[in-house]
Amino acid sequence: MTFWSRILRSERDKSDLDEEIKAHLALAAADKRDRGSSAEQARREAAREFGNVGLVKDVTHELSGWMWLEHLTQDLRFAVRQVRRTPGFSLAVILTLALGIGVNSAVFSMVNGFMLRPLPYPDADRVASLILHTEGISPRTGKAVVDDDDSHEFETWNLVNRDITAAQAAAQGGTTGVNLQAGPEQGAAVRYVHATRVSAGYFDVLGIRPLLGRGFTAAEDRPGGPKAVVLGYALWQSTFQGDPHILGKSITLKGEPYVVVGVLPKGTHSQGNGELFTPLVPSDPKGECGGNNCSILLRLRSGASWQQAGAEISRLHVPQFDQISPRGRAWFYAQPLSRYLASQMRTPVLALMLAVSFILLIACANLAGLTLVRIDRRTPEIATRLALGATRAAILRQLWVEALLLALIGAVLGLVLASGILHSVRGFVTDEFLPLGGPAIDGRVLCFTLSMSLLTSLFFGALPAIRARRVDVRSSVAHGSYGVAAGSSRIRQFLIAGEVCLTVVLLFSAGLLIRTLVHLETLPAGFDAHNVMTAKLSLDDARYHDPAAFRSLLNRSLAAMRRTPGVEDAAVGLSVPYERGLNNPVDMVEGPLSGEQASSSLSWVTPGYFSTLRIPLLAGRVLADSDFSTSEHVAVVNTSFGRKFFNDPNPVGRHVGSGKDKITIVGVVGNVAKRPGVYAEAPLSTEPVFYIPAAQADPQLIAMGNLWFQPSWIVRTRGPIESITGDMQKALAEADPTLPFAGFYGMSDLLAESLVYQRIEVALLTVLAGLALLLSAIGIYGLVSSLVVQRTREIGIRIALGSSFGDAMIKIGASGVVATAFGLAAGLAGSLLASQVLRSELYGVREHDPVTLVAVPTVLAVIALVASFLPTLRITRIQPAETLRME
Amino acid sequence: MPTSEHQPYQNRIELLQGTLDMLILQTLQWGAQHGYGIAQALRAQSGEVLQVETGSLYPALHRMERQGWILSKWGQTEQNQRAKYYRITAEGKKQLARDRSKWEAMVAAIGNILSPTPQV
Repeated sequence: MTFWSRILRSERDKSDLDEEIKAHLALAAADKRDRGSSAEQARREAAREFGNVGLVKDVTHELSGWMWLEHLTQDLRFAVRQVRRTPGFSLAVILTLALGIGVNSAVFSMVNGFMLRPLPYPDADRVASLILHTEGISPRTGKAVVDDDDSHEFETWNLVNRDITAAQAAAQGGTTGVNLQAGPEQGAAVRYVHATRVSAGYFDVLGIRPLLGRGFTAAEDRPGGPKAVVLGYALWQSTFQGDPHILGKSITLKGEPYVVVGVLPKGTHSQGNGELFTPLVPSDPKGECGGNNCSILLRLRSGASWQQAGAEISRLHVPQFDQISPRGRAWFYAQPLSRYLASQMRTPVLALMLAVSFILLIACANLAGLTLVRIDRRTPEIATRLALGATRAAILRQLWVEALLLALIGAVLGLVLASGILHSVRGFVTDEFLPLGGPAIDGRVLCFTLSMSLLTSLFFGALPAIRARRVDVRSSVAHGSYGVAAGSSRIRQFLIAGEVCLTVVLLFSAGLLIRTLVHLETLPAGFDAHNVMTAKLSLDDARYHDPAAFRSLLNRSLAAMRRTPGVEDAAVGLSVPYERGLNNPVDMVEGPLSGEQASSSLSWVTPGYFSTLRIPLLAGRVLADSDFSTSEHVAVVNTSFGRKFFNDPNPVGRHVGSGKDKITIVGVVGNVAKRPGVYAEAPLSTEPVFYIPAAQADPQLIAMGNLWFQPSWIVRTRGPIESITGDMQKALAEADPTLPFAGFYGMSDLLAESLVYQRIEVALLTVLAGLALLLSAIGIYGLVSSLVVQRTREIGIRIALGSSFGDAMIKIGASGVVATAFGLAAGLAGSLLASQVLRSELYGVREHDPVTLVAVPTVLAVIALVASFLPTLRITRIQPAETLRME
Repeated sequence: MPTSEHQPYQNRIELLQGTLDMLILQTLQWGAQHGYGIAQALRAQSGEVLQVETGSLYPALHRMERQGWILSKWGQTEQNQRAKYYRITAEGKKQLARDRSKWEAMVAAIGNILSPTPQV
């Protein structure tokens, strides 16, 4: 029998029973009339003899085993009435829960996206990422290092293709901006688009079947092979109007014709988020995969197992192991792609989940406090129901159903809030911090939300329900007064201490991160960031691989910019401050490290670079127009470079090697804050930088630099920088009208960009800590103000007996302050634990940062004092005479 | 009865269950009868001693019907009142015999305890 047919039968049985009882009463009344009673008397007597009709029905019907459902509907109906009768309380509960459940659901959908949801690829569990594990003693620092690296070099890629048979391999390079001219005709507009470089077989490994055409062939994926391009769906739709005959057509990409060989289906997700794809074309030493820069994906071939593939992978030869670590160990292994993609964000997302669970706990503590007060007020009602024969279990169930109803409404609103949060997160967080395919509310998130509301209803509904068990029927019914219990305010103080404790942990963590961000943002920049505008441009263009054309473009565009009114100075550099530079080691040919490679960041710059940015010259000279490609090769280094590699802040006149060339260091400039490329120690650092004149960059370096970086045109203006962008584009057009600037960035934009992760961290944690603080303040306020109401009579009597208003206020307000003090003490202890977890996120701030340690308790104390004593102001309005008369 | 100690109504059914079932089945031996009729019959035949509570009677009737000892059918009384009539089944008759022999054994046993001297 199905569920519904059983219910239907149960309903039919019930109306049958009604009829039967009516018949019984009619028969009894008829009997009595026969014996001479009046009709009315007979009816009344029959009813009296029968007894409690409802109870007989219940007892009879209960046998059918469907009573629980009826009780539940009954309870639900009663709960709806209760909710509507106390709209203020209900609204407070629903909104608090919506907030708590909303942020939890939003964060859980991130956890879900990163760790639980299968990747948007078919048989994603058969796809893995190749990782190189190394452990040993670092030759540089002498410390033990353990590293798991996903970036591989040319030789590894060749070995994988030769030795791995159980899995199909594919390699992915980076995603960079390139110039796309739609259509082969000359006049077509040039767009700046993001292109990802992938190997032959890449789409097969991910299980992506092109909508049109195919992926890249091995012939296309080698130097000198035919130029082919695969379009993403969105770009195909927008730029090519979804042209169904696009296959085989030629488009102008990076300044030369590429043939479209494929179009990807809608909703394809790739790690690089590229709008189009070009072949990887791996080559050594200065091409793709040449410098440890491609990731390798593996898909198990059908019939093969991970055991087989794993055995092959572990046997892979580790190239250049001697250089990695002289006395260490190294091996390759395959990590499931889902785990690999989650690995970066795993810790921050779980930490965030912990933080938002604090918010929900705090919210629940507040609600439990609120409900406790309400239960105390409802003591007479509960006592009456107990007296009328309700079981305690029935009362508990009733109270829980009420809590559940509120929690479910809160959960629905919470889901609305969560989708709002996710929407705005997609707006201000870049894709690299979001799971592949974006965070979404799916079935798993709904289940999570539902269980959250069940749990919270147990937490804030069950606690008060336990109190209701203690209602003493006789005294409550007899006195008809509120069973105001000292015990309930004790429990509430305990709850407040708990929520303050969690709030302190959140405040402290937010404080440390804010201090970190402030430290990073106020680091000495090392240059004058005011009135500087930069513009990026893709020079990954066949026409500018020739050094002469490259130099001519730089010279002509800079000359045009310098002529622009309002422009003080202009320069071009491969990278600018706050950005990372190109990792390009130079060979040490003299000095203490002679014979070794100096890992530094390299930037080619035009001679005006240092004057335009006002980077101070400390020794020697800056680069000059007289440094030609044919003259002596020279370089300028920063102080870090000299200190690190020559043990000398002034290495002017020393030499280093680069390939066959010998380069003379002619000057030393000050350090500027840069995103580290070589040593990832902090978001901004002053790592060694090696500047060479753009005119002396060899074709290989130009090609490599422009493949991975978009050089910046830098302009220093006399006035505001915003108005200069049009002039910059116009000046560029004088040199080449087909080149579009990809974007204009002031120095503050670049600083913000380099600290984007820290800013997101601070923004999220500050909002959460503020929320926690607000909820705690509301909790404290609620506790004290309900105490004022409950004890009005007592206070009135005290005041009548000569106590002052002030004494009464302190006595009542102290309950909030004491609870806060306990919470603060526990919270500071908890903060010490939290700071250990946060340690890796802190820069320039110690874990026990004294400023944060003072600021957090101060803020909390002020808030707690206000929240505790604001409600006691009502005490001053108490009229002792009136409260006495109320007795 | 206002009380803080809850006494489930069912306890009283439990108390009487064995005998109430037997008495109802016995009453139905004489023909189909409705709930009110059963209650009246038990009262009359016990010489007004046994008062069957409706709160025990109806649960018992519904339970016995589910157990297959009795069947119910809506019908008309002589006064033209619609009522639900219960009729004993073959299974019910067997149950009555079992209950009866159990009851008699118990009465004999209790009698032996209360008056130990064997009667001649």
